[in-house]
This record gives sequence, C-alpha cells and structure tokens, in this order.
Amino acid sequence: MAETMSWDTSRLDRKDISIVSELMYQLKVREVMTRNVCTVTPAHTLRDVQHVMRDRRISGVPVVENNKLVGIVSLDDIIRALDTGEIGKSVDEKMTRKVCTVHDNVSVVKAIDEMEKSGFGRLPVLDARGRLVGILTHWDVVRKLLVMLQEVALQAEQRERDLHGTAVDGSPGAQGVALEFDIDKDDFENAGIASSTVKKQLQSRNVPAPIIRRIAVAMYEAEMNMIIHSLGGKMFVTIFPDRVLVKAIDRGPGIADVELAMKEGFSTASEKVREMGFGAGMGLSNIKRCADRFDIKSSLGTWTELTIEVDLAGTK
Amino acid sequence: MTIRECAERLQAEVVCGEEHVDRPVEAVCASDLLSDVLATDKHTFLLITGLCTPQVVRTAELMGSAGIVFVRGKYPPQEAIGMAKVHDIPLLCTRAEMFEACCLLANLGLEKHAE
Ligand SMILES: Nc1ncnc2c1ncn2[C@@H]1O[C@H](COP(=O)(O)OP(=O)(O)OP(=O)(O)O)[C@@H](O)[C@H]1O
Ligand SMILES: [Mg+2]
Repeated sequence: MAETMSWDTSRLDRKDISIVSELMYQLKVREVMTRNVCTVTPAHTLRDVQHVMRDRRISGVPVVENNKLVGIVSLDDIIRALDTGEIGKSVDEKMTRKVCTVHDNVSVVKAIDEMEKSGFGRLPVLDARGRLVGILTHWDVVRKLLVMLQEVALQAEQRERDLHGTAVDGSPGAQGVALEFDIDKDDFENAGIASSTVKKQLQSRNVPAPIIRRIAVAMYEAEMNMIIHSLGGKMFVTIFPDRVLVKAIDRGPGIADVELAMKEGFSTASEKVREMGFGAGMGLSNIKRCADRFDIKSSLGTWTELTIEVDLAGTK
Repeated sequence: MTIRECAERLQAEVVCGEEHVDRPVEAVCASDLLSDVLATDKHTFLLITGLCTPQVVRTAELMGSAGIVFVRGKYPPQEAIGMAKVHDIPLLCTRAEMFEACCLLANLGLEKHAE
C-alpha cells in the first residue's frame, strides 16, 4: 500500500490534474472514508490488536472508550512491542494519545494536506459532535477517485455520442436529472460547490452561458444564505430538458418578516460575514432577479424554503 | 484590452493563470463587496478587489469573470490559488490601491465600475 503518496501537481500534465484536483476539491471526507471502523478499547492487549490487524489487514486501530476516541495503535507500535517483549501489555499503556483527526465535512484536499503535514497515513474521522464515524487512508481516496474518473470518462463518451447524433432521440428524459447537496451551517470552506457542480453539468449540456450564470448566481446566494443565516439544510436541483428547478430547504431558524428580508439592504449578517464581503442584504433580491420564477416560504423557528426556477431557453 | 495589458499597467505579479493572460477583458468591476459583484450585469469582467479569500475566486468562477486583481499587495491564500487554477482564472497582485488601480485601468480606456 502506498503510504507516502505525493500530490505534487507540477510533474503531471495540467489537463489530467485539473480533473483530479477538481474532483478532490468537491469531494468531502465523509464520501470517501471507510465507515466500518474496527476499534479496540484501552483494556485490550497489544496481542489482541495484533490479531485484529492481521485478520482485517489494516495498519492502525483507533482506541475508543465511552464512544470517544482516546488514542490509536499503529503497526509500528506492535512491531516495537514484539521487539521489546511488551506485546502482552494493555493498549492503555502503549497507545498514542495525541491523535491527528479530520472532520467528516472537510474536503479531501484538506485531509490529504493534513496527512502530509502530520506524516500519518490514516486519519480517524470525527463528525460535528466529535464521534468517530470513519477512517481515511490514501487508499480510500485513490479508490474513490478511480471510480469518479471512470464516471467522468463515461460521461464524456456519452456526450461525444450525443454530439454525433447516435443517441436514440437526444432527449435526456422527461423526469430530468436530480442532484442533491448537503449545506452545513458556517461551512464557508465548501461554499459554492453545489453551484459550481450544477454550472459544470449545464455547460456539458451546452446551455447558453448567460443562463448558466443566472442559475449559478441564484444558487450561490441561496447557498451562502444557508451557510450564514441557517442551521444547515439541503439543496435539491433538478435539470429538466427545458428548465432547472432548485429547492433550498433549511432547518431554521426561519425568517420573521419575509417581506422585510426581501428588501434590498436589509441584513442581519454579523461583522465577520461583512468582512468576508457578504451581508449587504442583496442576496434574496438578486435571486429573484436571476430567476424566471421565485418563491420563498418560511416558518419562524422551523424552516425556510426557496424555490428557484430558470428556463433553459430564457431571454431574461 | 487583455489581462496582460492590465497586468503591465498595474505592474502586477501574475500569481497563476499565466497561460490565460491574452484573454480579453470586456469590463472592470471594482468592489470589496461580493454581494455587489454577484449583482453586476457586466460580463467577462476583470474583478478588482481588496478582499483576499477563496470566496472571491468562487464568485469570479460563477460569474464567468476574466480574471482577478488583488490590490494593496495582498497575496491570495493557497486554497484560493488552487481553486483559481482548477477553474482557469488568472490571479494578479498589485501594490496599487483600489482607487489608483481603477484610475490606471480607466486610463487604459476600460469601462469603470466602482460603487
Ligand atoms: N435561509 C435563511 N434563514 C434565515 N434567515 C435568512 C435566510 N436567508 C435570508 N435570511 C434573512 O434575510 C436577510 C436578507 O437576506 P439576503 O440574502 O437578501 O441578504 P444577506 O444575506 O444579509 O446579505 P447578502 O446576500 O447581500 O450577502 C438576511 O440578513 C437574514 O436575516
Ligand atoms: Mg444573502
């Protein structure tokens, strides 16, 4: 297994790398990590760990106590213990307590960065509440990228075939293509990925650039609003042959006065958000301007739902 | 007007996207407010800004911007550069301040936009 894999892009062809790095930017750790993590408790012996490693063919095992990650035992630790005759000792005595971890919602690029910085080839993955939900190795990333590259290749092939008119009737089907994105509160790092992904989808369908821009901007404003003002939510995007439908639904806190919120210049954004260049109170009106049809519903304390529709042959 | 001509006039360093500097610039949008940039009607514009975050690059990408100029000698973070490379957006850094940069480009005969 390649434990020291370098992502130095300068030695590789630019075009190839741009696809790979694009994929890695969009990919979050939770989509790639191995979920069924094999763990031990501090009370186990190193001998137990050795058996786990052998049976499961893994080179590191997280140590968990009361649902909390308290350490990790690596293959190196086991080899050393075999050398010094301490293989019968408890995990508690010999484990590494300072564990380098990643959160499940960060990008794979960031996680790989972390691996290179720390020198660890496997990182336990924690969710927002600090629970161990998976483990990430270089191998997980490579495997996922291979699958995704294959998809990219298949899509390119399909596009090529469509262009040459060999498709049955050329229509993508009446029910459309559905995409779904999780948007987390305060997740500025991943802001805009939903919009960017949809933009790329539409580009591959040869939708005119001004129409794509209206969809991308409306989605980005909605994404930012969810990240800044809401507790998080989801974006559902359906690409029909003649239009794009976006539903942005969050878990609250809702908007007290929707009419007021729609007014240009009204904003409750914090100073921090303003420093980032947002919070001018222009987002909702910009969404409305970009959309062919727009609707906003909100229930205070519970949810906000935006419906944005843009016609693909629009002249707006 | 091309990115290269703008870079020369601003004495700007090309941080990335050297291969795209012959791209045409059809307008200029100067703002420290991304909300404003997202609301502009301009197309293929050069974005001049004092903000220096990955969100600037994301905004430029979604708006189909021709390139970005960071003023006052600010240097973009690695994450922003990575994103710009992926989306083929040239990034420039100039020591000039916003107003100065706008004047220099206005003199170059570009459409000016400052709010
Ligand atoms: N999803 C949401 N949940 C709760 N409140 C929201 C939501 N979206 C918008 N709001 C409220 O409506 C106000 C106006 O939103 P709008 O997008 O127009 O401006 P902004 O986000 O404050 O600034 P800008 O969009 O210019 O960066 C927000 O300040 C916020 O109070
Ligand atoms: Mg907003």
